Amino acid sequence: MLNARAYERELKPLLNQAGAYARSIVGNHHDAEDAVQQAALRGWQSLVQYDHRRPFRGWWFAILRNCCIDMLRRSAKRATTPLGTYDPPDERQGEQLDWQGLDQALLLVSEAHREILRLKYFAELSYQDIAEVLAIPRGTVMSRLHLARKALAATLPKEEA
Amino acid sequence: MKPVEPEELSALLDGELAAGRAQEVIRLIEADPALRQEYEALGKLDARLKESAHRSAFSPSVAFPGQHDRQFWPSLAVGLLLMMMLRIAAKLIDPLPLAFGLNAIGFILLLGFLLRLAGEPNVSTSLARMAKRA
Repeated sequence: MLNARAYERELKPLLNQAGAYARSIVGNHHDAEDAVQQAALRGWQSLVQYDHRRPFRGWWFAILRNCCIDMLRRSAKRATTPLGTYDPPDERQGEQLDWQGLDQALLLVSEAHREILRLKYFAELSYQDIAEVLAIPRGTVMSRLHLARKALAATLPKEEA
Repeated sequence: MKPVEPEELSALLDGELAAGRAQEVIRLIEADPALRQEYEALGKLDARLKESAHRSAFSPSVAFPGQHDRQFWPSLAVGLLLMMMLRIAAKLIDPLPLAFGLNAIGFILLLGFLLRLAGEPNVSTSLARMAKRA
């Protein structure tokens, strides 16, 4: 079983990605930080149940995901923009897409696609870790991620030649 | 050779294909211009998304369980050491208000204990954030 120091050692390298992932769900830095703190505490409290055969990243990000969902339910707000007010990223910035533009583009794909793209790009998880978080087979992660990329590509402005 | 499944292009890009199959897919991509174009478009999209997501990364401050225990016991040890030194000093330096010194150290230890309580993750983090938002 992991002790406090080992748990901290495992978790610290994941915090940057955890912050980005949480922010992509809850919509702001303050709530994202709270969600990460809650997940750190909840993970510590659940360590007795942690199966060492499971990858730590996948196990902990599943906890973080649940904390973010709980936070959204509690505050009864979502990081959404009504479709009618979506502003496409500036055409002159075709080569770069800032993360707010990415956030908005993600809103135009389905929830399942949005979820897997967040885990891939914000949390930077492997297919196996994503499968662990979403409790789906690795093969499903592979096909769903590919479809998600195609769906997102269709919403983004083309890069300038 | 088995034809390339669409999702295998993504898997190849992410380094998630088994080595043998990855080599086969690479050969098939090189032999098929349409497939190569699709793979390159996927690569460009992936690079854009990674760059954007990377810019959103930030370092949340997290208080880890057990952190305050590690700070508390050394602080207590320092306090006790100070008390011992004060008792020894009282015998060597005259006059030294020993009682005042011991009371001051006791007060500092009590303050440290109260700060440790306030430093519990749920309490201090929530309080700090509420104060920031107010």
